[in-house]
Amino acid sequence: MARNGVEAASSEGGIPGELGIWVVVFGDLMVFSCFFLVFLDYRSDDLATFRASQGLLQQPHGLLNTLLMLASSAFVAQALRALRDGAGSAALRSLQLAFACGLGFGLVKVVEYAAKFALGVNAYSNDFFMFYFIFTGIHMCHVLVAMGVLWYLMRLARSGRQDSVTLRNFESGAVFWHVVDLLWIVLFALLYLLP
Amino acid sequence: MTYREFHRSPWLIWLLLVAVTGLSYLVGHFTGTVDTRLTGLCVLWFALLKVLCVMSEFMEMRGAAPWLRRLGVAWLGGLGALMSVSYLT
Repeated sequence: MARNGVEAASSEGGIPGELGIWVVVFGDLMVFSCFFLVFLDYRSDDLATFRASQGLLQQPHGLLNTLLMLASSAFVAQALRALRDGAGSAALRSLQLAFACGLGFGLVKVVEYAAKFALGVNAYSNDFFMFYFIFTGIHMCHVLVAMGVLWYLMRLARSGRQDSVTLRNFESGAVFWHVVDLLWIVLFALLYLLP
Repeated sequence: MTYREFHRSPWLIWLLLVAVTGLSYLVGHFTGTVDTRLTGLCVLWFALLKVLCVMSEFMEMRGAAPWLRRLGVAWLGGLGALMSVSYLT
């Protein structure tokens, strides 16, 4: 039980956050599921091009971004637990670290895009890079929106409010951040690692 | 941080996720000597295992309403099956 009496909705067999955020989440997951399947379909039609193009990606960049995403998710989960325990300042610190991980992710992506453009590679080069730029670009938009959400959560944590409405908003924001993380997990496997 | 606090914290799950990521990276990186289809499936399933961890632990679906859990498992199972079939054909 939380010290301040504010418990997780999920601990009572409810849903973490608002119902609306789950509608958005599953809608997003369905759209990305279609992306993944279309990518695999195109890949099987032109395996040689996809493998050669995949060889131009920097796997360490993808790995670094995955580690940043996983760390940010852990920080957000830690922030939520801290808020439930009534430790607003600890929650704020964790959120700031998660935000820094998000910034790091964006920075690595910019470096990666710049390296591709320097090689003369762009979304029109072939099907692989079309998917690469579209998927990672849409994902990056999600990261930016999620960072805006984290900013809002930081304001909530700073305000010191710890009522059930604040907690529910916090849970909704955390769920959205975790979705951004899990989408990247699959993108990393498909674009960078799949042999 | 005590052992109990660590066990309660998200960092245990994070360690597991990092370990699976490392394993997945190694499998994806050194595929020259092993059957490509098998290693490809390993990479996909490792990713889906990580997604399952994120959903159940970080997104707290493990303790959520049964309908939400079932929806999450159905989505992940369906995606895993379709991706595996699509990759192998």
